[in-house]
Amino acid sequence: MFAFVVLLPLAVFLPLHLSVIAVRLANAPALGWPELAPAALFTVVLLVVWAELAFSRYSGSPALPCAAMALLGVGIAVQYRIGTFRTVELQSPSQAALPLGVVAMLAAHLAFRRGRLGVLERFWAVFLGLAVAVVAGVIVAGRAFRGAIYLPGGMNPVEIVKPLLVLFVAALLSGHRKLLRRGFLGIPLPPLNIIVTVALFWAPPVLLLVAQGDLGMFALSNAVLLVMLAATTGRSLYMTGGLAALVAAARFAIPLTARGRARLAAWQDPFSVAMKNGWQPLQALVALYSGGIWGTGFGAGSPRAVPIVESDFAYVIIGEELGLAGCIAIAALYAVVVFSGMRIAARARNAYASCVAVGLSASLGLQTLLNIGGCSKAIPLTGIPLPFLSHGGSSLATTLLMVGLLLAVSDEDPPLEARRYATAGAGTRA
Amino acid sequence: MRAEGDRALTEALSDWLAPPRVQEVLAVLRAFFLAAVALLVFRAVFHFAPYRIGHRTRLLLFPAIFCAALCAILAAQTRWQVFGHTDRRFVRFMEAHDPRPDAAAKKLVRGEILDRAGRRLAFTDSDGSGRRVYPCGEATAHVVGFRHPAEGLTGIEGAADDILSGYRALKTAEDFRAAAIETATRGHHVGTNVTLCIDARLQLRAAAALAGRRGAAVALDPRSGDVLLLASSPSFDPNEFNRRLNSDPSLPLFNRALRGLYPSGSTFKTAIAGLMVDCNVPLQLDCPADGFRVSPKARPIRDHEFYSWQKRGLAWPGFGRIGLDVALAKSSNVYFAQGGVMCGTEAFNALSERLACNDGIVVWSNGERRVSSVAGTVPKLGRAERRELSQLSIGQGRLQLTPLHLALLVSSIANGGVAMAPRLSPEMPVRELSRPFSQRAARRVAAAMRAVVQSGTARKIEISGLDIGAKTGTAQNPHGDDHAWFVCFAGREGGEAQIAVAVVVENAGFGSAAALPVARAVLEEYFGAGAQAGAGEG
Repeated sequence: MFAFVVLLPLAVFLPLHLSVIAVRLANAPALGWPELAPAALFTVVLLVVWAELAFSRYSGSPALPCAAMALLGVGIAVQYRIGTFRTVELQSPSQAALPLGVVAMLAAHLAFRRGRLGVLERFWAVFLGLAVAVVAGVIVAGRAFRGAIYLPGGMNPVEIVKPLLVLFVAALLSGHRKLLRRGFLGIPLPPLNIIVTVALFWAPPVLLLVAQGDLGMFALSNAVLLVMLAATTGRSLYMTGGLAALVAAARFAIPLTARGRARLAAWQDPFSVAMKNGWQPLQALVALYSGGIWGTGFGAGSPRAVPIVESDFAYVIIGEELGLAGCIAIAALYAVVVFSGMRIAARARNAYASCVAVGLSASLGLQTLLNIGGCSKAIPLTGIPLPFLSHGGSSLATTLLMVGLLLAVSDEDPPLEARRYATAGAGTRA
Repeated sequence: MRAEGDRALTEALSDWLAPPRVQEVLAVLRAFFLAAVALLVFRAVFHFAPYRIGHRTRLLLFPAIFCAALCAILAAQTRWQVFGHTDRRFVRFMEAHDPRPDAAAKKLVRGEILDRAGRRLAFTDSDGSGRRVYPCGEATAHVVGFRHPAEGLTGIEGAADDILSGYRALKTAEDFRAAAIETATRGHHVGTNVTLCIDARLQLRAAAALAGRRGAAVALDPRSGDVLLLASSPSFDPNEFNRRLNSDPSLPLFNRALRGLYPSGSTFKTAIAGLMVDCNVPLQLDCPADGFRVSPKARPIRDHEFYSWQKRGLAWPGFGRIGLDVALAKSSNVYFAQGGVMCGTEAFNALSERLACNDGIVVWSNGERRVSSVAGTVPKLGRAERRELSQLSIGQGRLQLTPLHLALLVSSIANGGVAMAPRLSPEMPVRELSRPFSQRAARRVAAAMRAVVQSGTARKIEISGLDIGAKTGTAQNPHGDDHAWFVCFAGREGGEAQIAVAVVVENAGFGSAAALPVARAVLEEYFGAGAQAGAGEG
């Protein structure tokens, strides 16, 4: 466990950190102690996480905390490399995000492990209310910036809506899963009153997201809902058909707004608007091209050529400096997170907890797809941050909180139960 | 204490992270990173098999779809990251806008830009950096343009990018792929040179004459339409472009020769003179001291002399009855206001159309991209707008033209009434743009313009051995001091006109004082010392 949670993420992080130091040493002979701060901080985080997991006798999936911590390390290295990681001088509240996020992750694990997550099912209305209040509060108190509404200081508390919506809707779906499962020939045909109930509760927060102008978040939330529906009911048509319908709706709805049209045009033919909306995605592609298969070496590229590369285009830094190989490595880490998240969901005995785990891992996975798809021009830009890697305190803290909830679901079974389960094997299938 | 610690750390690290070996060190560290990730994924996938899925295998559908989507995205990414050079527009974008100094696309050996005598106006430095060198610097900055990693391509560098980069010669996608791969790996794909009609000597001389002032000079060959000179001042050094130029209040990046719109002042009287001959209106007109008014209530248009005499407390007697030669030599407002009104608004509208006054004049085009002047603004007059017509006839009112428009006007007068389409490249066809005047009218006006040189406001342009016709202009402008104009055509004595020049100097007062010396410098350079003169005849 120790090796897995502490040493492997450190082994992923240290080469990146040393690369940046090597490049900085090659350019300027002087180097200060603050250059070692990221390594020190990350080591402390790893030790704290390991200590908490060890003392609470964590019995869940070791792959999830390991991959999540490795991605956290890559994120710290990326932000340190691009110059947006500061530990010495505290400049804005978003810098407290890393310690805050780690504390939230561990607290969520401690509070809700061993089946206690099921308690939250009763409080679904609270989560719904909180989600609505957060989005409405941002709309009221925020100001318009680049097409959406944000709070002063660049904080984006809407990020917290991602786990809140999952916690809320999981109660609804797992409660009605028998009815939602009804259908014919694999086509789900749930009773109308259930559809109306789910829709009525689901509509306020997501419609508020549309009002806030955060269409990427709107699409993400709906996609997560569809994955959760398919997972709880076993009817995959919910997911496949629903996602197809979502894409079709997006194709119809995006051209309705000027900003949507601009983004679609910048995706379809970036060269025709190269000096305007096409500039950022094209510079991202140029950065990828200059990285090639093996990259320029971490710290030795010029990803700054991409405007505000540290937030939505953090993936491009990996692409330029670690090449396609580095991108595949990062993608593999995300795949481990999603796979272990779904394994956790499959293993969970509480239907609500299982549904929550599905929602959280689907949310992490879909964010990853939307972001790196946008970076490599496979899909239009959505403005969804890349979990762990993108600069942004609220995104990082929320991601860590989601990992903490997954840890809590994973830690559900007492060790004895787990052993019995494992040996029972296929026999429990019926 | 702190400094000591810093030094200790630095020394400890620099032992094995020494600058020359940094690339090797980075490669080793990348290998460590990839190995660590691989080990992590391997352990996660294979060593946790006991952590079984249980009965809900259908939950693996989402991760399976997720992985498929990741692979699709990585494939799409590979298309750019590894095979980006197969996309022609992508390579062009990288060539123009990739700020990385060692970018593969930068190693394209771009074609050169040459002037009419084969002098290099732009070429790629042979040191392998891909840096573009502009030997004439400021003198040709606007017409040749420049290539800058962040600011992109301008001027001919931008418009002829296809040719210069060599993509034009590559017909099929296969050709391009081969060339692009060759470029990306070895860096010796060669573009095509572009030759311009521009004369570098004239550019340098005009730039020197305009130095320190705001203005522009344009010269055309009236017989072929060759653009010999397109100078704009103040200028900038394209070899060392910096972004601050964008906010310089004197607008050094602004190409005044093609984009500057100025009231043309008295130089436009040459056009009205031609129109009067073509409309067969009487050329002997009364020009009384109290001016000309289109209706009893209108404010009269008076001659300049009226005001200068008035300032000295004298009563000017007026020109009396004068002909075209005297009127042009003296630049009589009263004469041309009357003459324009006599020709009528319809004739005037037709003339402004023939002179392309409301169109942009294309000087270079390859089908896709072009270099052209902005459109001038000469209002289309209704039948009743006689007052407006009288204003326009003396080059005032709502009339704004670029220096290129004026050069085209003069070249059509010098070429027997035929305006040849301006061309910046000798590869473009020689073609007629329009016939603003009849041959008779053009000859008559040309003679009157010679009289301006012999006995009028442009006496200082006279150069022995040359046959020059000219017109000065002093254009009132609502934003400040008058703009100085000077237009002329010149040929060897007894021969046809070989060059038409238009010069404007902003806020410089009288045309004969500020703009004439620039035109004189251009003519002296063009006709030069005997032997060199032949170079001008393309």
